[in-house]
Amino acid sequence: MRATGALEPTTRASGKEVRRLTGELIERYLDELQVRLSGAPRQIRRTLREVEEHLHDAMEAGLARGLDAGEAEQQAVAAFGPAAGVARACNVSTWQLLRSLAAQALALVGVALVAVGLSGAVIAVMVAAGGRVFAFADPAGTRYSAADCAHWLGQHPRASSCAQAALDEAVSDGLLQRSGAGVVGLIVLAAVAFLAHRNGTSLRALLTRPVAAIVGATAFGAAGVVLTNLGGNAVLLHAGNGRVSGSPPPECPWSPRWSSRP
Amino acid sequence: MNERLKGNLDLLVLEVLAARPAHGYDVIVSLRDRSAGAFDLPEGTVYPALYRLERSGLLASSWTSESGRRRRVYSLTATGRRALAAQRRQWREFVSAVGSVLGAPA
Repeated sequence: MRATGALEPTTRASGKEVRRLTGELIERYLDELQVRLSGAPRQIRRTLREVEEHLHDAMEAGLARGLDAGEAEQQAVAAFGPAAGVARACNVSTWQLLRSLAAQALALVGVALVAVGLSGAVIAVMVAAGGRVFAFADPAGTRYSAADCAHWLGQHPRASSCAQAALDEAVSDGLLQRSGAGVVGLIVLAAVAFLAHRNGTSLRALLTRPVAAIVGATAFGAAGVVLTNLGGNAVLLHAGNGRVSGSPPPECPWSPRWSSRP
Repeated sequence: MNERLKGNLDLLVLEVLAARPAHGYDVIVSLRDRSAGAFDLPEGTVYPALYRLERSGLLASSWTSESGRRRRVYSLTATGRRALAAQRRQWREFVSAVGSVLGAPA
């Protein structure tokens, strides 16, 4: 391939004249690289721009060493290495992409489980401050189906009534299961952090990658909106939660009206 | 030499960028200068390494304009500094172990 490097003056928007290196060899190299690169268009443009600047830097260095423009261009391209090899190393394989996405998804699942665990901690504080009835009892007048009552009494045989069994079930769901989810989440995050560290990265780096950040912000943001709406709805429309004292609501097993639990 | 170098390129790139942020050509020139010419890799190999390290969160990069030229400048993140410290320690332990074996009487 014939080197055709040359120095051509170009004028920038600032009015300052810059001597810009141009060369057919570099252009052909960039053409070949562009054909072989795969992935996101923005990443391909970035790579091409970086390589072009690199080759011009190398060509300028050759000129500074006393080479003529053609030799400097030829040496710059030769020193960069074959375009096929550079493209192969730059391209992200499907396997690498899938592995990265799986790690990010697992990290997000871990964060979600820890968030559920933290909600259990908030409930524990509410129980400590106001008691089980304050934190868990259904609104006054809530009626339970016979099937629900049978299920809850089966799960909590020590309960003296359906309402008591419903309360025990709510405590079990609210504290034990959430705490368990939090512990599982911590284990998942620890495992992901360990694997990330072994691969020379970190859990934080995984969670701040664009895909994880966008998916995480969308999913957790949507969950926040929905749960806030449900919470507000329960407080405003089904007034009765948050009773500090008083007995659990009376049970009417034959007439299901509203229940928050299966 | 070059095969061994490729296996440790990430560590060397991090080391070069620990001194100051730099663009790709600057990194390869620094590697060559600091090794007194011993590390003379195909220059294109530095970009896959830079991209890999950036994807791993060890590097951050941004475009800068200098003398009418746009350059992508790379710098170490906090995670990158911690990874570099860990990799330096591992490398020194490895060199020490190899030195002990090579220095043992036949």
